[in-house]
Amino acid sequence: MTAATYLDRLRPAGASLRAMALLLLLLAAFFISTRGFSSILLLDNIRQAAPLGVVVAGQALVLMMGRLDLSVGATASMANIVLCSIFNSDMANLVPAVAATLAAGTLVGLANGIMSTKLRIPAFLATLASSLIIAGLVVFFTNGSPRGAVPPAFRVITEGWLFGVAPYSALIWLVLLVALLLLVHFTMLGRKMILSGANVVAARHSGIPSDGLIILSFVLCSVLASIGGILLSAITGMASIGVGNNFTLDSIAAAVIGGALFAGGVFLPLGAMAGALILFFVQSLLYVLALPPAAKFIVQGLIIILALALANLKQERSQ
Amino acid sequence: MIEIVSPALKPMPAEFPRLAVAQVSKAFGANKVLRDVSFSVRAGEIVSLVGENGAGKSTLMHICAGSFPADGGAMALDGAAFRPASPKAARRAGVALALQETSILPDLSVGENLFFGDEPRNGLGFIRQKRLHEAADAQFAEMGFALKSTRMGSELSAAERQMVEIAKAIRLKPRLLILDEPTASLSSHETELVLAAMARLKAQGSAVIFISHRLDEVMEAADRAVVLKDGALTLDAERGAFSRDDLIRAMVGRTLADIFPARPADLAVAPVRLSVANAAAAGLKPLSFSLRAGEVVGFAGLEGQGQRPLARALSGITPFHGGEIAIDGAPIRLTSVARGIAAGIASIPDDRKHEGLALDLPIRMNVSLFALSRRSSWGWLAHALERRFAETARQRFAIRSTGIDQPVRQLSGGNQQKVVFARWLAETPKVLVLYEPTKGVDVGAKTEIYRLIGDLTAAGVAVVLISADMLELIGLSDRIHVLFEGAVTGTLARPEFSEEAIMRLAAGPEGVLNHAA
Repeated sequence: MTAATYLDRLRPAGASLRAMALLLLLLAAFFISTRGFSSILLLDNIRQAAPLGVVVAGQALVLMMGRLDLSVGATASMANIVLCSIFNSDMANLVPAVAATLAAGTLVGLANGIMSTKLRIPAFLATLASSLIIAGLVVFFTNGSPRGAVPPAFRVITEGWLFGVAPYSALIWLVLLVALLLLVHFTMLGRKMILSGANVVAARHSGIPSDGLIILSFVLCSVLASIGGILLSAITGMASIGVGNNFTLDSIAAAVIGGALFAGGVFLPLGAMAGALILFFVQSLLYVLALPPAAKFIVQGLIIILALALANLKQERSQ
Repeated sequence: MIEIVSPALKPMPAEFPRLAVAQVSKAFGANKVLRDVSFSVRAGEIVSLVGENGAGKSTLMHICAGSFPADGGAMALDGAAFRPASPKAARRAGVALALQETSILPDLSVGENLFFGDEPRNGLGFIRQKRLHEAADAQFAEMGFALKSTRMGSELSAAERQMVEIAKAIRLKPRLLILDEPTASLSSHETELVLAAMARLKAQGSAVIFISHRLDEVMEAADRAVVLKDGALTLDAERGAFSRDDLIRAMVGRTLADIFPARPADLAVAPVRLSVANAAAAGLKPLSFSLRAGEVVGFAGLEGQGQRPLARALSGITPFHGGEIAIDGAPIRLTSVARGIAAGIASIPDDRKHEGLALDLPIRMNVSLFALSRRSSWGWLAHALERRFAETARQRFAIRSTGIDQPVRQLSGGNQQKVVFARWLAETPKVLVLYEPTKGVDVGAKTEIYRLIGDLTAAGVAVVLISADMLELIGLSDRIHVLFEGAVTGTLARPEFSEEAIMRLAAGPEGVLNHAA
């Protein structure tokens, strides 16, 4: 294969580029209002956007399978509680704390996947139900007042910078995105997932084990939501109820801004990244402009409309 | 269609045709769809409009029915200039169009659908349900349709929805009725009923234009055939002045004999490829048959006589109950699609859009699944191999497209079907199961698919052909089994092939057709 065809294959999809363009516009507005570009400020925002970004990657994967996960927020919140309570501010508990958090996430994903395939419950209802159950269990086990915190040494994953130039959390995010990109677009497994997401019946009739692949996508999504929760815990430092709840709607919004389709069959890691950053920078921009928090929702809504309108306009022209 | 309250079948001076179309042309962008088309329909005449997909038939009919104006040319209805500004205006003038895609509302009863917007009402404006259902049932009885007015729209099969759609158009007794592929989803028996309804309308002085891909019904019902090819008129002939071959030549520039591959005279010495012994399935009674290498065995029958269960069981989607299936003498357990594929079975589904293709993905990703899964090492996707394979497949199967990255949705039906074939034929299978392989495919693509089947059998592939297309069954098969209520009621050898012989067996031992008639 020549280098040219190799590069051609890596060329991002139109939707990813549109999301990136939108992000650049937003960044321009942001740095104009902060009076001057600052790479530190940019990277610091990326650092803080990483927890959402990791969750969005998972959501985009489930959307690719033509499903929706409404439990990512509850899962991330649960991850925070599990992590903090097992850690109990002692770095010696690192392995059990992280392992238990990821295991809990895996269980949620398995439950979601099985409900939406074997039990044939529509995914958005199945995951809505599991998010309610998770939130209920969290309150039950903590009596509403969770205890525990992550040890300061652990917080390095979101507060630390590699060689002082790249935040660890951004690197974690990047590594996970690249891993998903490789899985979906460079392996046979991923190809079967795309085919199955684009038309599940046709995939089954071609001998693709679609149910298993859907369950896999839910498991990966919940694990990523748990990782998002772990990163968030490293930022906040302590256990509290419902810290990740905003992730549910934010992740869907970001994935859609990044070109994901509810119809499935599309996975754009670059778009998912841009979508998460757009949502985060909107927040930062409004903060810089000292606008009320309510404006965030309005702007977020407008951006979703803008992103989808652009996508539809493009489609109509091509037809 | 409510606007035509009074059909007004006034006797017209005989010199004026019901509809005259003169030098109509139409272009969509740079694409010239119709070029100076002229033809006419007389009152009391049935005209069949024939042509490949994309020949411009639907565009022409939509212009007649007022959906959009022509770029050039003129039309006259009973001698008066006819320039319908909208479908509504055309209907008011007495021109009704029944489309292939039906507009049956699922939450209304059949009768309410039939009378939609024109229901019999009492003084308070309430619908007189009883009267409505009586009138609807009376019309169905007149047309010979086995439909109950009280059934819900959602319960209807595709064929029944089509019948209601036709009944809706006919009920208004239009001056000119245009039917766009009315019989595409109907069984032979239902087709007969639709043709009979057209004949009644003709006897009442209406004119009928019907688009059809089925040449037998054109031969049977049309007083005149009009053929379009690439937007231009290539044949306009009275009944008796054209043959089936004339139609095909006018459509594609080839004759029938060239369409089907020649069958080898004797296959009795070839080894048995597939044998099915005593295997049953839901909707299918215990069935036994076998295929030799290079043989095509057809399965005929009226709609819903076990064709679907048979196709699904043979491709491993729903398992057979009991019985024994063997390929090349080795018994196999056909409990999943994957096992079928491993045993060398390839199967082409009847509903390519829902069961065969990922429409929004490019050709490349649709064709390459099996080619890749056999040759990808360590689970990594061989992108270069995929592009090479897709490019080869695009040429081998003559998939007309802008390139291997074009989404399959943008292709015509025939080219979509070729994509399905290309996926399954990445490697030559032992057994190929075809279920309505040319449904909704134009004659050009059909010819290519038939040639492909001929090539495959020459290479020793055994083909199971389950089809409702009699011409196709007769032209391709070496043997035809006829299904009735899930069982084979008879088997025909090639010398015995005829549509009559198949229909006799398809009617079952009691002869349901005679009962229904």
